[in-house]
Amino acid sequence: MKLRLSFLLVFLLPVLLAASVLAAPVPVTSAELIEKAADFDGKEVTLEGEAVGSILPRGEYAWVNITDQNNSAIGIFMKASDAARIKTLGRYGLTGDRVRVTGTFYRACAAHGGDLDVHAASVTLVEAGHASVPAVPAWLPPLAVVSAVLAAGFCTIAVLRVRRYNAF
Amino acid sequence: MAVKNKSYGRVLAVLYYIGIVLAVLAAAECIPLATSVLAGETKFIWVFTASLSLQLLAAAVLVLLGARFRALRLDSGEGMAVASGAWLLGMLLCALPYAFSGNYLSYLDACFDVMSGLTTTGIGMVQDLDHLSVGLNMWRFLLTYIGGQGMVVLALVFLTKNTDSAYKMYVGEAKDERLMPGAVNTARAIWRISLLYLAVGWAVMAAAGVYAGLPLGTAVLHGVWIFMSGWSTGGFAPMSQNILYYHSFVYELATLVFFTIGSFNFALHYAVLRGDRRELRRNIETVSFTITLSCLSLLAAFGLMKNGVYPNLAALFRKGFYQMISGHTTTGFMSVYARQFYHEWGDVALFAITIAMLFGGSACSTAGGFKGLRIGIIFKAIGAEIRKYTLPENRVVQTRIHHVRDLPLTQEMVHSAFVIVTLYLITFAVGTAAGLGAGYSLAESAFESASATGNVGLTIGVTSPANPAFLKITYILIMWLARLEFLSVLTLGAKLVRKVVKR
Repeated sequence: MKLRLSFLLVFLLPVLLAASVLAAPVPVTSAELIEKAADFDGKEVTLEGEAVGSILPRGEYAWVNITDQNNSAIGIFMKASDAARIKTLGRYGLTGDRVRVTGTFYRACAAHGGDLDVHAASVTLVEAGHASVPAVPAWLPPLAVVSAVLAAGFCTIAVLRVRRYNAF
Repeated sequence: MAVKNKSYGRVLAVLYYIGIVLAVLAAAECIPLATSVLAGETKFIWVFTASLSLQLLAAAVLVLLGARFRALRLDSGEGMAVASGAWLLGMLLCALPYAFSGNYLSYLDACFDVMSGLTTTGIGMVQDLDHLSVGLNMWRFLLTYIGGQGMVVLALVFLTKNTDSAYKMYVGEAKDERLMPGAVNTARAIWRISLLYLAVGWAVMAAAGVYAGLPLGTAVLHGVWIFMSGWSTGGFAPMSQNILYYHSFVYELATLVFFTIGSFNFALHYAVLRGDRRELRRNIETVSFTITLSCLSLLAAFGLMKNGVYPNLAALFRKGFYQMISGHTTTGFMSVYARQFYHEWGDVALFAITIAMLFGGSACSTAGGFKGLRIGIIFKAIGAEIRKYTLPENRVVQTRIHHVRDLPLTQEMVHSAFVIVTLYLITFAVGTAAGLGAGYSLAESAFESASATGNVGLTIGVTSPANPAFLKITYILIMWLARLEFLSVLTLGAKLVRKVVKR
């Protein structure tokens, strides 16, 4: 009996663990969805990304746009209650909440005027958003001050010169 | 020696006027600076202070150099040199905020985006658009708005005298309608019309934004930006998904109305605003636009339906027709992803939209492309030619066109239309060849080249920061040439070559 149990633990458990990892949906990227839209059309997909912009309410539902790469966001149509769990949306100075969405992908959604979108079945918060205000480069303030002083000087001379020629 | 001095003085007079245009552009930068102050964007307060100062410095140096010769009367070539020179130097200086922002991988990318904005094209190189500062966004859209009406036209507003030189510069920026006596009065009329529409359009777009679900503050900001971009047939949007971000038919419809109106001739606006509504139906440009848009939309719809791209008529309208009219008016707003054109649209629909982008909007408007006036003239000329051979030899029939008033179709008009359209086609071919040279397919290269040549902004996914420098420079030159309708830039080039050869 003990031997059987040890056999199970040593051989079967790793196999079961590996199987469960393989069975978990691997997130697709927005670029993959756009490039291979026909292949994914109507299928269940999982994608992960940062919620950006604003939540756009539509009655019991809402649109949330999530981005996983530079300049490549996708619209997620989700329940308003799921959208309400997203507290921070990305914009200048803010990194939005990172969410994992599983849902049905549509290449040209019949319900939404042909939008390429995902209708979410589940939304999980992966990481909370945070402030990300860009730092001021050390060279910028001195450049601004010096150029402002020079510009003020040259503009004054230019205005005086133009007035002088106007007088003649 | 005296001749040499005279020529030197004329060059300095050109530089003086370029300096004036640059000073006006620098003054405009106060708006994004103020926006950044209000939004509390510390980094961008420094960015705009530095850029604005450097721009003013460059403008002051040019004004100082040429102040003594400012009274010289510019000839047509010099007027064109002012326009094309101001656009080139304007691009280099207006790119400073972009370059300092950290949102561009190189200064070339920053210049690309400025030229794209000023020429109201709308293809871009910006990084991380969804996190762009409010101030920098304001600058992007302001550049598009200024470029749409014309930066020289803006500078003329501040001139006090209706000089002959002013008219030469006005023509140099590819606008030749005289709405009122004198270029300065015409420039003021153009800006009055644009500002009137801005007030109305801003309110409508803000309301559409609230309806789409945006918070009020965001709706107001997006409203002014999208209006400026749409009216100027620009195509920039504040979010990376462009118009698709809003997921709203009402928002799309509102943009469609404004960018269509924006693509009309300022002379037509002026006539309609003065009460002549019949002009809308009679004008050769609106007639030509309606016919070409209808034919090309039907062709695109046929292609899209044949391939079963969209599931119903609503989707066909929101994606197919929206993209078609966005391309034809040379706006470039997108409600689909760039790569969807390539993977899903099919050859027939891509062909139709490529032709639409080349045809473009109206002359003396914010739009690019061949222009409806020229297409109308060419078709009228072809019709007249056919009639000539079908009627008895001794019968003389004069062909007329209606553009604000009835005009006889002259050989000069036909010649000018054919010359400009030929130059557009050569430019389109060069752009396509450059795309092919960079390794893209013929369909991709032709689509992107048509977009750059027509100052449109729709993209099939070719334009990207990863492009080789030669392709970026080719597109910059194409956008610049096409916006100024070639002659100004070619005149500037010819003048520079002549100076070098003389030495």
